Amino acid sequence: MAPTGTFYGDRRQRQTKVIQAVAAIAGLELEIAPFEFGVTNKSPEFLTKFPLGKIPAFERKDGFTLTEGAAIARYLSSVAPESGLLGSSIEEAAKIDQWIHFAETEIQNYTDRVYALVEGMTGDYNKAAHDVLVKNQLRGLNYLEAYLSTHTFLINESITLADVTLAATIGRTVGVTLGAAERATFPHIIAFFEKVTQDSRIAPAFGNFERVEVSVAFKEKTA
Amino acid sequence: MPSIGTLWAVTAMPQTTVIRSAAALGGLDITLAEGYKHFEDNKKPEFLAKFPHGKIPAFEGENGFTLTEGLVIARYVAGLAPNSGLLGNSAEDTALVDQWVHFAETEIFSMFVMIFQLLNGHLAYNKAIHTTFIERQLRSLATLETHLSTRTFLVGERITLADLTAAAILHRVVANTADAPTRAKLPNTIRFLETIVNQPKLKDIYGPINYIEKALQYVPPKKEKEAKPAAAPAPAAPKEKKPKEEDDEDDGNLVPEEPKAKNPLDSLPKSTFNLEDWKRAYSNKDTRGAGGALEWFYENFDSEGFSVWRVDFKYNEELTLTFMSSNQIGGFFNRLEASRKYLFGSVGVLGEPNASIISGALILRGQEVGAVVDCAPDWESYEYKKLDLSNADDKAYFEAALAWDLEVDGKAWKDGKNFK
Repeated sequence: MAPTGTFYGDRRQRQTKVIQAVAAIAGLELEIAPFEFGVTNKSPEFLTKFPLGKIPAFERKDGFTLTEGAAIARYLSSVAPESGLLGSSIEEAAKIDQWIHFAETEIQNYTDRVYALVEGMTGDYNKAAHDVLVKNQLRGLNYLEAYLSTHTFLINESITLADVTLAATIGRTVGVTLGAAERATFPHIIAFFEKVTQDSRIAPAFGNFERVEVSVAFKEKTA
Repeated sequence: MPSIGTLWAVTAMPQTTVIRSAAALGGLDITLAEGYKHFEDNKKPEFLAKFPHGKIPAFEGENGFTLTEGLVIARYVAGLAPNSGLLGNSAEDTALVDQWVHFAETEIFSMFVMIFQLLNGHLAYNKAIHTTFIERQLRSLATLETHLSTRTFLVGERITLADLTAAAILHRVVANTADAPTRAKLPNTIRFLETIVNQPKLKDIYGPINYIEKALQYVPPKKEKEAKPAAAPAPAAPKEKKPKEEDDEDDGNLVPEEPKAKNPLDSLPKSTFNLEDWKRAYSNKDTRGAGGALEWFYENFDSEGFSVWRVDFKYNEELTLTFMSSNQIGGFFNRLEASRKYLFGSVGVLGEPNASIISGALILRGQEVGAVVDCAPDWESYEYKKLDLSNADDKAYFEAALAWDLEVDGKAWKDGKNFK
């Protein structure tokens, strides 16, 4: 099979994992470009094609370029409608979009912001701000747990792009805010996560997810 | 024209602007849920049965199909009108529309939110981080600027959902986080924004663009004078009390420049109601009862020259400890300083920690709330409803807000602030 196009990403990046899983499910081959963060994406060749200078980035064989991980994942899914990644109706596709947006804004967003806060990337650590972020994420997680207690996958009886996206987000989140104690309170989310990540097409793309024992906390820097 | 369904939303959210614009350009009628009160209606069983997450925007189609996530609803609505071209006319264009929508949301709007949260104290202020986010926002805007330097629209040759989304976000950005010097570097972006917002079918949906002149600066809050003397550590000391300096999520004081232009409120016909006299009456008299401030108010109020409003914070779910909410009100009042001559306010936090609301009343010059309060950059974080003092409910609300004994939905007044 000839590659559909060239893909620039990083195997550790959540969006890259999603795109590579999608390619596997959709039966598409991606040529993985050599990529060195901070070097490749600052080169003139890269910036001509992808002016924002970020990854993931995709260039189809005929030169069509696309950025934004979620947009690339959706486009590749749409190229293989028989894969079922985007459902089988306009309503199913909309529900898939809904859960993807939910995963990114109501879970991944808070995981990223808590991580940035405890690592000092967004200013002085502030426990009240940390608590608000965790609380906001908890609202989304509780909603998701209840939903998954009555659904195998998010939309129907087989894996869609929504499941792939959400699983990658949970995979990142168990390494930040969902410590062992928290994971125990979301059995359906964890069962869903295990089910999706064990899919033989998805497992190689997702690779390993680090889990924390304890939800991340700020460490005072010692003098 | 039959409606495609009902939308529960508040018009101030950019997502709502995008949904309504997509419907307008798609020639579709979408029904806005009438009388929707956020933080009340979205907690009711009827709403939660359809939308268990409890968030807005939320959509229910005529066939019972339910959908949430604002920009997803907009995409779905656009897809119901394929001839509109809102999602492009090819698979590639559709993908590019998705790309630009995602970019606008994650690379522009998210930076805007972070900057805003640094300036209002939601994130502990740090100048280096503020600068970083301003730079990131500018990086994103510069990418957009370059793209628009050779194009009228973001994708293809006609307006798409990408343009509607970017414009809705830019509309907020230029009013808050992209000041005049920044905008001078983005002429094509500004031209683009004006083009989209001024489309005849969209003008009323987007509303006027309020360009901010000067960048908002963070001003650290003054230390409050009412310090409880630092207690010597005692076994009985309540654990949740921390020194104010560490724990205080105080709303940073944002002091915009005094507007140099003549204020149109000064050109209104003279009024018999003197706001300074009112402020004195309020301060010196009991609010209720014979000889009180409210009695004085009803004897002297001029409803032609002034108006009375209810004000509610839109994001009460973000409120935590009540003293922090009280600080937030104080911060909002600080930012209304430029309108001191035109405004009186009595606003409080009602309820309990993590289950509270900010609500109150304003007395202001003229008949339009925006003209008086839009000197505060965060004025759109609050909802305003004009009160009719001949209506018993409105009158009771107004009086209770001034008397600091207001109760809303079983939530009692905890603490308040006056703008006088």
